[in-house]
Amino acid sequence: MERSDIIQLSKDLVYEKGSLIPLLQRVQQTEGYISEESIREIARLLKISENHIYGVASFYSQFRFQKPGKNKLKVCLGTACHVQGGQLLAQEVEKQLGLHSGETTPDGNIEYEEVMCLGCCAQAAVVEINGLIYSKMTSEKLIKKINELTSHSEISASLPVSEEELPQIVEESA
Amino acid sequence: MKPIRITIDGRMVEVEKGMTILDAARRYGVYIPTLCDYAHLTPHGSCRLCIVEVEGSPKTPTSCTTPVEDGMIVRTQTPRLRSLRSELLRLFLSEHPVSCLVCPEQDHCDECMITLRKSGVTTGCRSCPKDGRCELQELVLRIGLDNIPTYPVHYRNLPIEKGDPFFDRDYNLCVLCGRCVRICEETHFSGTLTYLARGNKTIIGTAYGRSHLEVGCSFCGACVEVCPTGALVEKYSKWDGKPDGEALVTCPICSINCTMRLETKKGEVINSLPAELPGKGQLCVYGRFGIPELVNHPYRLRVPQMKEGLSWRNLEWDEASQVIAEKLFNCPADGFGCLISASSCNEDLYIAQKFARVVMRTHQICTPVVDTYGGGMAGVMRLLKQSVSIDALDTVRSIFCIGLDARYAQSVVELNLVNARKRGAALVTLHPKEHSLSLYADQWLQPKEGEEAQLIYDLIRAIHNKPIPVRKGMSKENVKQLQGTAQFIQRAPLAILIGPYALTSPNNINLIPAIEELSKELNALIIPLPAEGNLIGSIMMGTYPDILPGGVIISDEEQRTRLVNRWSVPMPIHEGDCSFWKKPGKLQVLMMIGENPPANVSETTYVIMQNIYPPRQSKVDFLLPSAAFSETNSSWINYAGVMHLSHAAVRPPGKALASWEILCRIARLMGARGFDFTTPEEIQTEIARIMGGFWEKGTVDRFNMATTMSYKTRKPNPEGEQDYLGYPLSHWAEGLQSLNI
Ligand code: SF4
Ligand code: SF4
Ligand code: FES
Ligand code: FES
Repeated sequence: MERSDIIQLSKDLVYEKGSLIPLLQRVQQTEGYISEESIREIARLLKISENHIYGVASFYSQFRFQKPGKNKLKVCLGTACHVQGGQLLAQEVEKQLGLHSGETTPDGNIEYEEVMCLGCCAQAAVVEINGLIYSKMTSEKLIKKINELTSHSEISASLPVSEEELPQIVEESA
Repeated sequence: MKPIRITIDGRMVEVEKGMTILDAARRYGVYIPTLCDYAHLTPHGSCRLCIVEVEGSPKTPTSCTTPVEDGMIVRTQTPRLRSLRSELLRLFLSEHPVSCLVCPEQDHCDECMITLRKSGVTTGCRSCPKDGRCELQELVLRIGLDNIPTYPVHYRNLPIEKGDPFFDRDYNLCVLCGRCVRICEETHFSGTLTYLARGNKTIIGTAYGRSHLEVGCSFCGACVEVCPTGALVEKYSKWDGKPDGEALVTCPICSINCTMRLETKKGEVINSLPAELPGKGQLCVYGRFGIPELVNHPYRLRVPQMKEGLSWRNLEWDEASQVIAEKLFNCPADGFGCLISASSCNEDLYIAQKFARVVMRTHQICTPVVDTYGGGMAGVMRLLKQSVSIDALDTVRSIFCIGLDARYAQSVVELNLVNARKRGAALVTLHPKEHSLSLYADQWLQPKEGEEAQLIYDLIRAIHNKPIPVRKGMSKENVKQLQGTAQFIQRAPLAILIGPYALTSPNNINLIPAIEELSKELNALIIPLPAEGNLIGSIMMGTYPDILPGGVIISDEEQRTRLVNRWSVPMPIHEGDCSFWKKPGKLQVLMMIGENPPANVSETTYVIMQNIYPPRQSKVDFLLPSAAFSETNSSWINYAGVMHLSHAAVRPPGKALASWEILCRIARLMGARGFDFTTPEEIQTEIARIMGGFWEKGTVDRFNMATTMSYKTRKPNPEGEQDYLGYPLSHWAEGLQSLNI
């Protein structure tokens, strides 16, 4: 975000340390993530070092430092999914895409996140792709899904799912 | 106020309100183990090793963060506390390598180090650079561990960060005490280190894992000094272990003359640290990391050498002094010239000018700074005559920095600036380029290069509420900013800091008078910070053609007569001329002390060079190895006229001698009287007598100090990078080459 945008966003804030978190939240809301450029401009405005801003932001899991990807892939590592091999799925993602939680592929196609319980423990292990829940996942099934994502670069018309909306469960046949 | 009484371990003691339990315990010599606590840092309360029992409270509060209360009954050593602390240590050690604690051969390590074989083999391992100096190790010894880790070991497996100059970072050894983060944050505007992430992923680092060079670290080394473990260590002395000696030495690299604590081992300087602990004491990157390389460089001169044909012949001192004495004996007064570095100590400066005047009967002695400052030299001298110490920043309400970039050189002033800012003082900076203060000052005035003086006159107009002419390239915003700045700097008292950039600016001949006018207008305190290590010293010792010891101008009849009587030699009355060394061919003998000969020196001039390093050009006929600042006792006068005494940390290498000693030997051979000095202290006594006993006082009496110099007005010619003994510093301390200067 450019300087003028940040000034616009911080209109009603005082330029002091205490305004850092509200400002970060607004930047994230508008841009979807906190870019290096935004941090630099916030540093200039609030007269705080970029390193401190990054340090504060990295403490809260709500802040992201990478542009959101086109497709969102989540692997559940909650208790039930863990028992059903969620960790193996996470490893598979790393193997296939080289991604760790919070990262996005360089082409901006897939954004990956590890989450704690998606609320469908009975269907464990669970993976969520663009708001759709895929149940009883195995590494093989996951590879298939990842291939679809990388070849078509879109798996379904990915309407943003609001939080109140119940996830739609897709039963995957083996 | 009613005193507060508390009981620590059964002993009733009196303490003051506002102290913590830890402060109280320390005052009365009661040991409480601590890890995250550090001298001048705000308490953090994160390691929890300092827990104590307070009667009536079921919890065990951390003593470093708990204030004392009247009637408190505190216990610091109980079985419960011991077991809790031991448990905490076990948790620390589950994340920290422990080989230094568990090696079965630990006790025999030293004996086992030497084994008899055909050739000598040294065994014995050093698992960690801090082995033997590590605070965690010490805590384990003091508190005791029942059994070493009972927890699964979590090794972070992070790569060791070696990419930046001067210090390595191995965050596998980090105990997250946060001392480095706090010292960096509390002493710099632009904090480098921060906590990243959280939970068991927390680690120390920079934004986006950038290198320290990239994020603008000053390389002040404070974080390295405060780190209790081997996570942060100096590259130079990484595996040197414990030092076996130390000395307080004055830093000769700039006019601030910080006191350094030089650590030595086996007769070599291995590390330099500020005299006081970080948070109060500070060094800049040159003083903190440049010194060992500068003084231990393998190219240091060790023996006198004479050019014979194309090669050099090594000589003993007796022969060397003899040859030079003969050479000089046959040299007429106006055929001799001497140039001495303004980064020399008072003793060398004094003896050099005495040698020129008494032995050679000439005033042709000078320092090359007359070139650095050009026509502005007189202005610089006027500023130096009225300068005050940076400690003044602790009381002023506004600060105006002109041409001061405190990123690398002179970064120590940033500590004062940060503290002043915390107190609420206004900070304004004037610099044409982006610099360490531009982001954090209340106002950054950014004139075009060469237009600084004009801007200051505009500022004076703004102070008088006079209209400011809107010049080409100036916007309404600029005018508004000037008016805003005028408001800031009118908060009295004001201190004006003048950095090397302004002092050597091509326009200094106009800029300095502008600064003087502004300071008169606002009754400001003046703090000029020249780059040379002993600039006032060179003036007060009289190493200029028209300045005599005491800093007095040569045309001062009374002072000159006094000196003539004291030295009992006639003294030529004519005023000297600073440009004698600029006229090639005029000199028969040129003596360079701590400098490289000028490039255009004539083939017919016999060049004698005293330095700690070899010459840059080939036109040198005689090389005399001198002692470095860390190898002799000496005295220095800083930018504020404050005297600093320095102590020898080690002996000079090879046959090197202090420069004054070399000159005294030659003078004696030439039959001169008044050169029988055997110690620097004897020279100090003589200087003190001439200068009316300034030695006893902290601040030198600058009442008679000259403020003019007979030098044709020239453009200043500062070298881009800080010079020391005729070379850019990074020539010898190579890590400095990577700094973005
Ligand atoms: S060297 Fe100084 S500026 Fe750099 S990280 Fe350490 S404390 Fe901060
Ligand atoms: S690097 Fe050293 S000073 Fe910094 S948190 Fe780790 S152990 Fe403490
Ligand atoms: S643990 Fe995975 S959905 Fe609950
Ligand atoms: S010293 Fe008190 S908590 Fe670390």
